[in-house]
Amino acid sequence: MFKRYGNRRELPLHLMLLPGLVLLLVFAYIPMMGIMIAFQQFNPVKGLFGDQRWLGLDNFHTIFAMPNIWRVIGNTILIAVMKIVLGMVVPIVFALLLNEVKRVMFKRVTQTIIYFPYFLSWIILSGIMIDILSPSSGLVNVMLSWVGLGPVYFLGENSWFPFTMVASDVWKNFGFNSVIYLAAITSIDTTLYEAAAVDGANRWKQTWHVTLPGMRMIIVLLMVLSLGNIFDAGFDQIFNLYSPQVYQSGDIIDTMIYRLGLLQSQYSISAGVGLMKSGVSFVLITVSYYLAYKLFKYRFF
Amino acid sequence: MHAKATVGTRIFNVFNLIVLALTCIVCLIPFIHILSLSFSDKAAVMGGLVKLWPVNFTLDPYRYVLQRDAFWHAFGMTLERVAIGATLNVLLVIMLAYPLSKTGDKLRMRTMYVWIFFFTMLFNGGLIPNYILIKELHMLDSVWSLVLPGAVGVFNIVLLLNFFREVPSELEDAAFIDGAGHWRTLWQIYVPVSLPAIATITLFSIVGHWNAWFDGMIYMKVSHYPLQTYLQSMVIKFDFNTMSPEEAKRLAKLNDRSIKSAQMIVAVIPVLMVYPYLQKYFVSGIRLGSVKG
Amino acid sequence: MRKKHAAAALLAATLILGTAACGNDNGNTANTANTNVSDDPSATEGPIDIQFGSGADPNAEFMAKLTKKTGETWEDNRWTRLYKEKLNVVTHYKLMSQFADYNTKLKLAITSGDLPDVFPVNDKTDLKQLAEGGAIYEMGPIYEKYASPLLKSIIEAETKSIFDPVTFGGKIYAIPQKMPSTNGYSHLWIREDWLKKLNLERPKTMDDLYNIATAFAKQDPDGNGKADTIGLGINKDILYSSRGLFWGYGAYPDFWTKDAAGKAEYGTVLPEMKQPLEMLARMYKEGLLDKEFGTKDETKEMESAVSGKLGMFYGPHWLAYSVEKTSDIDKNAKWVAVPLPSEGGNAVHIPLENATDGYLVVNKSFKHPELLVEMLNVYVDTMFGETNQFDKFWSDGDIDSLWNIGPVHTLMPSLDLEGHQDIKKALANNTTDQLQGVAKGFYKSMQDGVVGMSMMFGPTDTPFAYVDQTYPDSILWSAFSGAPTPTMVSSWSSMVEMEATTMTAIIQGKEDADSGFDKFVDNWNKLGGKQVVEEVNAPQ
Repeated sequence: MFKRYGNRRELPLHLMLLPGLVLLLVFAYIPMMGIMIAFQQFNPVKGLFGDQRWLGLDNFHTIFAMPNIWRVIGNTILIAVMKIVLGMVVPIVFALLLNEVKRVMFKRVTQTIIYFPYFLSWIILSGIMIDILSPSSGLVNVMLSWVGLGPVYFLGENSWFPFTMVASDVWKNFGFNSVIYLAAITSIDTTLYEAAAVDGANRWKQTWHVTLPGMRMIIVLLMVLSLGNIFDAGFDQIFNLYSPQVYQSGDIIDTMIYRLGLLQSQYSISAGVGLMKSGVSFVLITVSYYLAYKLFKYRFF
Repeated sequence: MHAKATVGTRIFNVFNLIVLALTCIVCLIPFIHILSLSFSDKAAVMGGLVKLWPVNFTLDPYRYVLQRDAFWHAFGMTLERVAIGATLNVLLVIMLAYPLSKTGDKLRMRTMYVWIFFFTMLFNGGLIPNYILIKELHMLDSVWSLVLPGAVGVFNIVLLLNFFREVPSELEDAAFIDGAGHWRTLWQIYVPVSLPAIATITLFSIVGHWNAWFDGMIYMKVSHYPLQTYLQSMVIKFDFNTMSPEEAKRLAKLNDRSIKSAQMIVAVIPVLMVYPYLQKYFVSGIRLGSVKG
Repeated sequence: MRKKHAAAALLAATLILGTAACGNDNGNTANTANTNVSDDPSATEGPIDIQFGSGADPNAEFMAKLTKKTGETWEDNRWTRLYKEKLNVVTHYKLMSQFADYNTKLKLAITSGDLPDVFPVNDKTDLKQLAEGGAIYEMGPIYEKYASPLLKSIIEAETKSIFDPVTFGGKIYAIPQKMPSTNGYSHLWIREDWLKKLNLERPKTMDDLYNIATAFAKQDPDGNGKADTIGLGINKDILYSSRGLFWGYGAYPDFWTKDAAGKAEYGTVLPEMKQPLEMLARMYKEGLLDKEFGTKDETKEMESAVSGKLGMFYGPHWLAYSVEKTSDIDKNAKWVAVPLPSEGGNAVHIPLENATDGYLVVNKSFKHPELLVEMLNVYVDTMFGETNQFDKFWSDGDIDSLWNIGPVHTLMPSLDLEGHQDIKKALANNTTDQLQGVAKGFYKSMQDGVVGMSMMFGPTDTPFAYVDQTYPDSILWSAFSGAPTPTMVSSWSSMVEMEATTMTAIIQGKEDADSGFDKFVDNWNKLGGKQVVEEVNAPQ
């Protein structure tokens, strides 16, 4: 009885999944054969299915034998982790601040404006940033000098460069990223606020007891998914803003592999690096998925 | 919400408005700068003299951009791609997130399905097999090569399925008692109460398709480049260590920043306009309580 | 139509594993049975279709104008019609993309076995893999047999080593598209009006250069009462942006020279580098360079020049297109290119690569590799032969760059220089109305007010006036231009990185120009430099 009911109710669900599964099979799983390039000395002339030379794990040895590799990995993780953390905190704060604004016009205009920078490409922004951050004439340093600070060579000092990357990246993306949190806030049942108000909660308390718990699910979810970016420090940004004098603190895996590939396309090394990044992200996300399930009985997805 | 605001609330309100206004300024400055570049004379731009107001105002860059047939072709290609691609993305996301939002006892093999989807978020085969696949499917130089490979947005699915889970199960039960099937429940109950999330996903899809350039370069012929691919080839970074003098010379001739800025402005305005339109779904909250009652 | 595509795509999904492995319809497999070269192309009947690969810029302004005027396009124009008429060759493009994207697209075509019949290769490693994989013809014997004396004289005009990068196992696999190597010069550009204002002579020696830089930085040449001028321009690509300064000291960074015994050595690690580095470090310390050069690129450097803050810089001749705008901001501004000064006033040598615009190869599956050579014969004959139609194929009214719109091209290396020489002569003899060829086009642009053209090709104080004095007698040709050696492939990028960081540190005074440099050379050798030098010198 239960089973029959289950089938009648269940079959449509499986059917709904079918088109997506087919698309993934074709456009994601079939191309995954390309992962084998990471274990070959890939010669493009022979083609993907040609008689390539198999190297086993040699490509990975090559990657870890590169001079400065650990420093570069360290830079990558440092920059990426700071971007992940601030890239979540700042949009959440702004979503909350915007939520407190009661003037609809102001709220709409602000939302739209903070979303602008997301659409400017780093290659265009890099020229502007070099001007604005110049230690001799840049606007930021002029303002620092008003309060007796500086000048700071944001793009030229190894001690500052990673933080400059993080700050500018957060600036560029926070408006766009706040959209998702605004959606989460908007989805909170407004009757909950009314109930809280009846209980005499002020706005701060409402935020703390209603809004934030209402966003908790989405915050935790995005935090876990962002573990997938643990090696993604932002190639476009760094490539356009770094220079030999900040390689020490600013060189990341992607820029290093880019330079390695200039002389000869490094199909196999790139594939190897990609695979390692995916592998580590996969482990991190899987572990947090099961931890969350064990501890809170909650499945993120 | 209260008629009478406390002093603390008022101070907070003022402080909040100031912080937000300052943030707006910080976000606007680069945009105004680029806008000024696009209305400035070439010499002033090359001399770095343009800050936040055009120098030697001119409309030439816009005249140049808007007279390019190639620019409009690229623009049309992008519109086609966004229309097909975003529609497909959003439909698929809704259709896939719904079953996956069910618990394991309502959808057997749910965990397996979810991991099949999730796995593709992290692992991919890279450029070469993807190119060969598109070629073997005879999709090179077709808009399908731009929309089908990314049609299933797993991130968006995960996002939406979590929103769907927040929908009280009483609503679903009530619908089933009324004789509705899954399909109707999805469109008549789930979708309407998840509009903020769906608006977000729509925005992500539109923006994603609008900004994508690499696939256009790889799969399309030059005459069918979408807009961002067309623009990308003009804002390429100079790298003298690897460039032959021939290439450097070619690029030096192309390097006109007022025109680049004008192109960027024209290319970004349509996508900026999408957001205010979708905003209405974020401004007011949803009252589930009334439905629940 | 499109819906059908999508349906087909889904159907094909189940078959993909099978088809991907053997589905090279147009690739290498189709014609392998018949790869013998027929001796006489005219023996075949009817027109021959050739699928070409080519970089192009379909959005270029000149092409838009040309299409409007004559209806010609990248696919169908005076060149393609010429080849049809002379050789019965019908031009198609299997692979045409923006210049910037061409290499990427070609690599994908290589991996998917979907190559055109005739196409240029820019990346030497791609070339090597194609040659070793047997995908392209050995062109050496075909070139020897079919190339006209004129074609040979043009391609081999500078050095025979032009074939080095395309020679593998002693066999020549491609034909270089020759270009003027004079593009590789770095010139000293200087503000003549500032010199006059401060009563300075043009620099002859490096000491003069230093004194001028000091005066430019300290004596307020722009007269605004602020110490905001820069003596010598340089940017974060140090070895590129100040090449000319190193040359003045007989140092040739980022370049392979020959030592007395004829052995190739790498310029960046030779002791001659120390003196120029010391000079730059001194200039930096004394505030003659932009303090922020380490984070600025050439565009930013040119901003300083155009806005009238910079008095002197080293750079290629086409930067004239940037600095010509200086006079829009300061109407007294006058940039000139002067002969490179040198340490002690010795003669300066100019290190040059033999310039090419890619290497043309022929797919093994195409039956008439000799047609490529024949096409090049037609090309040079049309452009430079005794009965040439240079004017028609170089420009159409005010639309130039037409030399580049056919599927193949190769230019006389002395082309730009001769343009300058002819103009100079004609101006002296008052015969500018009789100018021919390149000079005619150049001169017309000058008359039309393209200031950059006059700054580059004018009779005196221009880059080409200096080229005229030095080319080819003072040229050092590169001692190595082959495909990267194994150690280069694995370690070169780390070595280049060390080069760049060390040079920056030395100039900024963070490392000593003497001991710091020695330490760098040591590390460079350990990192693989020693091995690279050995590999470069190993007999091929």
